[in-house]
Amino acid sequence: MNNRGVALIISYMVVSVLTILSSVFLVGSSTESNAARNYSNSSRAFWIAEAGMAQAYRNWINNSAQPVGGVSFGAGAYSIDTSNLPIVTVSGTCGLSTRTIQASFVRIPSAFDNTVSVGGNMTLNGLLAKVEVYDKTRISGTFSKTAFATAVFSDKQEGVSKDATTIKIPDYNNNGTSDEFVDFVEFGNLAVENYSADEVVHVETNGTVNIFPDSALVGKKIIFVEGSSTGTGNVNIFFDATWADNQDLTVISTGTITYVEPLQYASDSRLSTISWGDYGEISVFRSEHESVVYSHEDASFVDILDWGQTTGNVITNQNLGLTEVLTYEKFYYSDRAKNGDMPPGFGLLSGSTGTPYVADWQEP
Amino acid sequence: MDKKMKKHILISIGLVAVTIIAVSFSIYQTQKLENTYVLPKEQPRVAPAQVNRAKRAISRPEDFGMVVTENNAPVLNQEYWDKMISNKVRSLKENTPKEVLGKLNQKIKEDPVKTKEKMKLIDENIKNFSLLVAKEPNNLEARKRLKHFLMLKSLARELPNNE
Repeated sequence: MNNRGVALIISYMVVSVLTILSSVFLVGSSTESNAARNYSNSSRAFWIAEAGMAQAYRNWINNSAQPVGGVSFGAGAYSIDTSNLPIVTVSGTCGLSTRTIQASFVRIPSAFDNTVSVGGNMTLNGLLAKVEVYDKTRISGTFSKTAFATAVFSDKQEGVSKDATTIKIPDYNNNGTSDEFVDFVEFGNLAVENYSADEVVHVETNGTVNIFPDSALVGKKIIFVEGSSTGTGNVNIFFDATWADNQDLTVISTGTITYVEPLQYASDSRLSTISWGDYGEISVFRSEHESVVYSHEDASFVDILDWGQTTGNVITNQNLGLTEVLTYEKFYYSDRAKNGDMPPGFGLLSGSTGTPYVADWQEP
Repeated sequence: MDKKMKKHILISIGLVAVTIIAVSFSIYQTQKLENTYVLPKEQPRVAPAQVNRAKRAISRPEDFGMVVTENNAPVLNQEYWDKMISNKVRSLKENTPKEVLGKLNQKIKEDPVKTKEKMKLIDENIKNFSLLVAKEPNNLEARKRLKHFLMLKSLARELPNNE
């Protein structure tokens, strides 16, 4: 047998194995390097987008024009899209990476400075009715009460401008006129779109929706009940202590909202309402809850058969009536809106005046 | 070097080359898959709000325990509210953890005399507003108040400690 050349073949085999191993490490190293670069670029793109958002906000509060097209920044560039105000979209790019962030630029209406804001008159009726309002009460009309009713205000002013007590719905349908029903419908849809699909419930009906503290509603931010015309899409809310803790839910209705409040004692849970029609609250047992109430029309606390307490803001564009409050109703101020903790949906109720605020930041 | 040896060498080199390419490609694919999370995602070129609007679905209220009634006018019927509220509240109580229900019981506990007084008050108001509505069918305020008391009665009957 001729064994000549075996050493050469073995050498080739060893070299081959070493080559394979080095190739493996080379390819692995190259891929990791690419991944690291992509990650780095992606992070940079995000922070470039954040810088673009900060610039867009500065331009907005200074009434300066927003830049058109891409703006170079650091190792990349950002572009600002304000065509869908109040929603502002900023894209940041770095290398092949692009990150997009979105936020709403709003001005918090002055009504949020007050515990109770009334665009019309405030009345307290009932033989033994009693109301206490802490911090500011601002009424564009007048306050009146029946003879034996008791009202305690820590800071009440009557006859103030409606700019300080009411909120107009922005011109969301872009027809040149704000505060129309169609603007409200558009507002409701925008509020829904500002959250992910699993955070919203959007019901279309001309009937009445009765809402109970169902486990399927836990974690929801917006319930929008949309009717096709004014006075439709009414809501009755029946919430009590069986509702989950630590919730922050806003119910929006094109009709009226009646909050039947047996008890709202869930810890740190907030239930706010926005209605085109009247807001009404009734209760049979001692009740308290934290919320912001906005009614485009009247608000009433009627047939309150026991001690009631609301912490937040009550804003009604027309009249506020407290009738047959058999023990007393207390209102306390909450400055969450002013502290960057606007309840869901309220960020879109912005006007042309008020404190600038960035709401609903998200990376879609 | 004879021809046979050369042939062996060429075959060996060929095999090595093919193996290197195959192994490298395989590793590359594996690494690519493992590192997908750091690769930049495709961004939509239209405003996200517009994209959402087009695809936003209408919810089925029954999926969220909501009860929808076609009637938009105040329903002035005790049986209707009993059916709506009592059934729902009973179901909620059955599905509520004992500790939460205990909390509810604790909060709601009140003087039985006071509860009786409230129930009496509710009944009186139902009677008075029913008479007023019968007399003035178009009195919207009276209808609304009557609806309130019907709702409160149904609710009060179902809450703990107040049977």
